[in-house]
Amino acid sequence: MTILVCVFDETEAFIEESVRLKGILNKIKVEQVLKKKNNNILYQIICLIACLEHIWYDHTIVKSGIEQIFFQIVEVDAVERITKEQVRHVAKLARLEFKEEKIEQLAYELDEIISFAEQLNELDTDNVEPTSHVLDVRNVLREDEVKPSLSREETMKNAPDQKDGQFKVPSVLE
Amino acid sequence: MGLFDHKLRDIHELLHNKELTVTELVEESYKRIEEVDEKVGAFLRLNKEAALKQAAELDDQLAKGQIQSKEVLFGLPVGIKDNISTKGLKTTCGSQLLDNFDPLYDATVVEKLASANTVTIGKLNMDEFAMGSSNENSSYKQVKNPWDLSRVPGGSSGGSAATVAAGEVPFSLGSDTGGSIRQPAAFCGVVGLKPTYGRVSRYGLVAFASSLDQIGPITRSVEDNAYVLQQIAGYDNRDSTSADKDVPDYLAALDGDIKGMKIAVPKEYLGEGVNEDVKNQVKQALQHLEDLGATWDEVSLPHSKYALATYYLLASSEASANLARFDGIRYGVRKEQTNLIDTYKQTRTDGFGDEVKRRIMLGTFALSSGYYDAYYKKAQKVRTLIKQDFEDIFLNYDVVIGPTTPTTAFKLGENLDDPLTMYANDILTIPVNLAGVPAISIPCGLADGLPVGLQIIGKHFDEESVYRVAHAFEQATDYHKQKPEL
Amino acid sequence: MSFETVIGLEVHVELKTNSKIFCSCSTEFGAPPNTHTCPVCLGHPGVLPVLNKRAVEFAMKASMALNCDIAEMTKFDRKNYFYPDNPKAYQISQFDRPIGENGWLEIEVNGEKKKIGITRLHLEEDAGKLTHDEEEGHTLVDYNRVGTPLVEIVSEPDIRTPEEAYAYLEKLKAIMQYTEVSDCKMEEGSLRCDANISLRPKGQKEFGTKTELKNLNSFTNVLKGLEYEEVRQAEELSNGGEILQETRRWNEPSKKTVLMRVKEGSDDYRYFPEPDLVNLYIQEDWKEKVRQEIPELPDARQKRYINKFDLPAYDAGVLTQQKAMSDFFEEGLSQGGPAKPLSNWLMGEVNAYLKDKNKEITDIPMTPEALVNMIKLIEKGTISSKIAKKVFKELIENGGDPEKIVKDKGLVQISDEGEIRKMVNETLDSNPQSIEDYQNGKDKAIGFLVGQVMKASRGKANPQMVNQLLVEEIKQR
Repeated sequence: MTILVCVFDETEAFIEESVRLKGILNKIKVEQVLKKKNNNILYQIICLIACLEHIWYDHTIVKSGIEQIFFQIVEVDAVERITKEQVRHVAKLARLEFKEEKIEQLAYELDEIISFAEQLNELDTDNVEPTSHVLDVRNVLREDEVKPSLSREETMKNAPDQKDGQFKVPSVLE
Repeated sequence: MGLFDHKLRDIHELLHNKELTVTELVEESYKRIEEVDEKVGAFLRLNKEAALKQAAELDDQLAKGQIQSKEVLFGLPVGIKDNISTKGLKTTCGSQLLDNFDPLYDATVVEKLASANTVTIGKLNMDEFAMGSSNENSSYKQVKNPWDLSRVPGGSSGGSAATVAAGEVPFSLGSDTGGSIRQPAAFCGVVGLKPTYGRVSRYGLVAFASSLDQIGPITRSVEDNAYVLQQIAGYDNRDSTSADKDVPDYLAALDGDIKGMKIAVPKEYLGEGVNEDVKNQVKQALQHLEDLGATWDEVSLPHSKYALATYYLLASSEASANLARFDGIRYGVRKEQTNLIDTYKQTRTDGFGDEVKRRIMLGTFALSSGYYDAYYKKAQKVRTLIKQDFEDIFLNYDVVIGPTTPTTAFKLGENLDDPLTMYANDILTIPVNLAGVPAISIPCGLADGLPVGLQIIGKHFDEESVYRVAHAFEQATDYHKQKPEL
Repeated sequence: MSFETVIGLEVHVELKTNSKIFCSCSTEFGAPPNTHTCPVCLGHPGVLPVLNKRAVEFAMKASMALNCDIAEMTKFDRKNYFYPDNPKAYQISQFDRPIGENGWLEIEVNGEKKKIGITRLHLEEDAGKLTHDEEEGHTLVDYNRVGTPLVEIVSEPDIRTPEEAYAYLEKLKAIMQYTEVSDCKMEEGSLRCDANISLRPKGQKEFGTKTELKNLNSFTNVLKGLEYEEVRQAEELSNGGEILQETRRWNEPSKKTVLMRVKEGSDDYRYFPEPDLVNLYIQEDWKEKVRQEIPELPDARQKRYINKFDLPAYDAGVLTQQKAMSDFFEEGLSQGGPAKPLSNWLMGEVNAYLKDKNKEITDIPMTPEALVNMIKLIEKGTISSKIAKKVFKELIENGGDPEKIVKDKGLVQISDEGEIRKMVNETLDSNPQSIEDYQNGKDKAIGFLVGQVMKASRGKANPQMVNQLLVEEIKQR
């Protein structure tokens, strides 16, 4: 069971939490909310999405400290961005294996990290070039010269298993 | 006062004047390790036999002639983080998977230190594959903070920072991908520099996130730090990303003169989540710098808050590929099964710890089909914005200053259950790696008896300004002389 | 129902640099296992790749020869997959910015010319070699080949018949050999080909589901594999069946393609930019420098042979198909050889010999100079064309100087009129019937008589003179 509690008011927290919702709820709808910044519409949309996504919601208005809290949504088995099935698939790609309970935990943790990462969607990056190298170093090349290789003994030194100067592994044929 | 409380240059003088031998130095190092390392846990492996043999050879050289005054590092003991390749000295990256791994070559930095005749004392403990901020992810043992053994030393270069703080060696090498030199340096009250990306060769540094990793020195003083960087910096034709640029004379920058220097203090670095005591120490430090003739303004690095998410996506993605080679085929601890795919799985599942697996999973997911654009590419674009933030600031300022970490060293086990809280520790150090700029952490006092780190960030390849400000501050204060009781 | 076949080819060509693409180990073929290896190509922890300049230039050259646009900016990416022959568990390849794009080459099948589009050409590293011991249930890995530079050349799905695929491969190989970027020796794996094939009802625009053919270790097997697959798919479709997206292997003994695996969606290689290598910018001057090094290509040579030497298009095509053959011809020309007879010898006797012995022209001891000298001996009349065949046999098997062979073996043509006339008369004396036949208008009889004289001279008599003198002598009788 995943429980997500969303809290927002009209200030900064409002925006942050709306964005947090973006990943879980429908992106476009929340963007509309942000634009209009109208709590009535927000309320309606939340209700709508909540119904669509089978989210159970509670709209009691609570005073807490200095922040006025408008909604408290308790999401039960809500749309998970990372399902256990996905975790299994990713584990397979990474050649890792996890026990069932660990898969559940990973789904939760990765979901949390990914939700956190989705705050990047706040930024409009349409016209931004991606950085894969932080320095603009170009055209680093070496001449085509042969230099001595390792001896076979060195090459095989750390081999977990070997035969006739080759690395031995369990059969790749199934 | 311990032998290693002296500056490197002073130890060098003692050797030079024959008041000390290299063998005595090296023995002193091992003696101290024997005394305190059971408590601190900084070293994974010692190189005692080879080190003493080398020390004797160096003493022969010394006896035959004098060492040059510029050979400051001659005969000095050094500890090397265990993700830096040392030929013939096991290199495990703090991982069970590489428990038996015997490297076939020396990293470029190790070659460079060897050419200065330093003596490698041993390999230093770390979070497994440099993933962690507390050293709790070492698969061997916990490093403890010499200031309070119930607290973490920081990570991932926890061993490298703790060993210098504990006086076991006068200096060490660490590596920094998201703060892994500066954060433990701050927690342990020592000086740690992450150089500009490309300033120091990465050849032989076991890659965590290739576009962010840098090797750097951890020392007791800024001057010591400059001596070590001077030796390890420079272009390496084995690392295509190393910069083909001259290495300036860093020592020349240490003249104490910072009059008229302009300092930027990002409001984001003193905002919510940063401990009040830490803030106060940093504000005091700024006052000191002002007294020395520098000026400072509050500025904004507007994309700072996105750095953490950006970093975790990029670093984990790169790591998922970098750590794929640890498959038990050519080296490492293989867990052989009847077929290949199970052998891969068992080797990697048993060999990697939880945090490493978590990040491999995150990175694999972020790169996988259908998610690449939304996560990896998006993060690369935000990286551009974060880099631009710094470029904009550096148009008008010489250095950027703030705290190194939001808090002082936390308790062992305190953040273990919550990856996001643990990751938030690096929130002030990560933007620096994303931008590729250099940054140092130096001690700026204590809060509740624990060291606070001051972070000084410079322009690309302007380690000189970073050192200049750090040194001037150090000269004007006594913080770097404070040391833990062990 | 009648179908149209759609074929696309993916060809991997090993570049013949001296050292590997990212380290300085030798790329030499056939060394003992794991002796051309270093920490970099073994994927040891902490190593970094450094790009081989010549590998880039070879890829540029190949791209240019295939009429590709050369990227102004190109970069490398990591292609992630686990396999024991892939030591880093990622292959350094190129994903979205290949060196060459949008090229073409021209093929000719049954006298018709056709352009086949080339989607892209990119640079990457080769994998190691696996040897399977099925009985023992293990696999052995040799990393010598890891890091040999490769270009992958992907064609557009423009190929419509297996014959066109064959012609495409022949032409591609020729271009790679002419540009001297690769040996293209399939038996050493320096050229490898995978084929995609699908069928669609004639007139339909959409492609059908394709299968991928692997293990095609010769051009003939590509042809046979595609022919088999064409029939198999047509039968399957005609019977209302469905083609699955699968990878099939050509099985030589059974002459069939057999299922390797069904593809589940596309493989997830998680490509991302290689952080250890910097971007490569290819400026005009560099491109120009490389372009200068591209020699005359087969199509241009073929045209020249047709226009300058008046060779038949077919002959010019055969001569230029293999660089070594064409170079032999060129060398012969430069030794003053007459183009047409030289071409005829190469097309005829030389090719027949090579085919029979399964040899390459570079394997024979005969030099172009020797062949030309032999042709000159024929033209001068020193030897007859019949004798020439004997000399040729000696030359192609053992090499040497044709003049010396002719001399040593006493093969010089008899052109002495008196000597020949004597033999003619002797022959006429013993064949009165033939004389009579000839005089009665049976022209054929003269042929028999020439044969008899040649036999008597053991082939050495000048046949034209024999002919001429026979006619003269019969008239006198």
